[in-house]
Amino acid sequence: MNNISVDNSVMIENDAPIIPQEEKPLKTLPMPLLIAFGVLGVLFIGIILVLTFSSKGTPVAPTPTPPIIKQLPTSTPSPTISTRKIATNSALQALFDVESSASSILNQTDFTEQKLIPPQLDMSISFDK
Amino acid sequence: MKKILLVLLFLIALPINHRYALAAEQNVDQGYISYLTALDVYRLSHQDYETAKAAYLQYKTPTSQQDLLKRGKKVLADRDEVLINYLNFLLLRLVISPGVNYPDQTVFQSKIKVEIQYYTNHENSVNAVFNLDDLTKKSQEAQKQYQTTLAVANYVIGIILIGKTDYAFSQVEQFANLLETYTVSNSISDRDPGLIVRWTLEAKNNQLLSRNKVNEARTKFDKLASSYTVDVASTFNDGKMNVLQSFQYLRTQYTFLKQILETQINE
Repeated sequence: MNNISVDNSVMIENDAPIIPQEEKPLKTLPMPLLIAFGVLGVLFIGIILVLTFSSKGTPVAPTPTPPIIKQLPTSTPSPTISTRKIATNSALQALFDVESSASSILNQTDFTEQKLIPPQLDMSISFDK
Repeated sequence: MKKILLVLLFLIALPINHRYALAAEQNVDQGYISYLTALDVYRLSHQDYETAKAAYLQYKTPTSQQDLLKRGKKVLADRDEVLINYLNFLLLRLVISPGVNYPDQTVFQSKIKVEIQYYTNHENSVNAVFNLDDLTKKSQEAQKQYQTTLAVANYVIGIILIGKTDYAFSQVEQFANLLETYTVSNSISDRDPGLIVRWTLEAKNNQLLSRNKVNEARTKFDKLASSYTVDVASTFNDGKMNVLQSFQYLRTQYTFLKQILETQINE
């Protein structure tokens, strides 16, 4: 600011002329490529959203299943061999448990009861004879 | 929710119940130790009494008389103490006995407590005696009461023995019922149906005989309620014999049931 002279006709000697820079034109992608990127982005976001919600257990609309035609049983179904076997085994197990309990009681019961016998005491204590 | 609460309550109650049972058994053991300790003390004081009595009868001096009075009071008090401890032990034993029903528990506990109260009072009255004649009377009072005590004690032991048989009876009966249900529901054929039927009948017959013998035993033990009209020892022994016979019938019933069970398994 100090070098600015009053006379506007005098040029500043050491100042280099300012050359205006040329603006580079913007490079734009071709339109089909942009559309393709847009479609891919939408697909990507969609996949992310689906995966996120399905992992959190959000109920997904059930796929329609063909209706099941239930047939009423004509008679009481007989138990299969496996279920009958299980029932028999559990009944047998209960039977063995009771049998074992009865057996141990019959073997361990003691009727002597020595400790309970009344004590032998001298009840005829006298002081005059 | 209710089911969960019930299960939780059961789980809490189970160890508590077990702890009570354990504590009751420990009390019985402690009661027995106290009884034995009292018996040892009595034996020693009885020896002292015998020595003092021999000295008094030989010398008849006032000193020996006073010594006999002192030893006599001690032996009578110690004898009462033995009986109190024995009856306490019997009471504790009755409480934990399986198979004794609630009415019997109540009746016999009160009978024992009456006896304990008698000997407690007697022990206190012995300490207030100041001459040998009164001491002799006190001894005779206890001797008379002892007949009732013996009858009560034998009666309680008989009830405990019957309780044991009843408990075993219920277990064998449960086994018999379950076996019958199993046999019927599975309708398992056996090679000799007649044999199973015969074993079943034999088992039921032995069950009936067992019950009859228990009832006979109870009738005999009930006679001990009137201690002055029966011979306590022979009545008790007769009742005990019936209990043993009843138990033997139970064993036979069990043997038949076991045979039936083994046949079912082999099928």
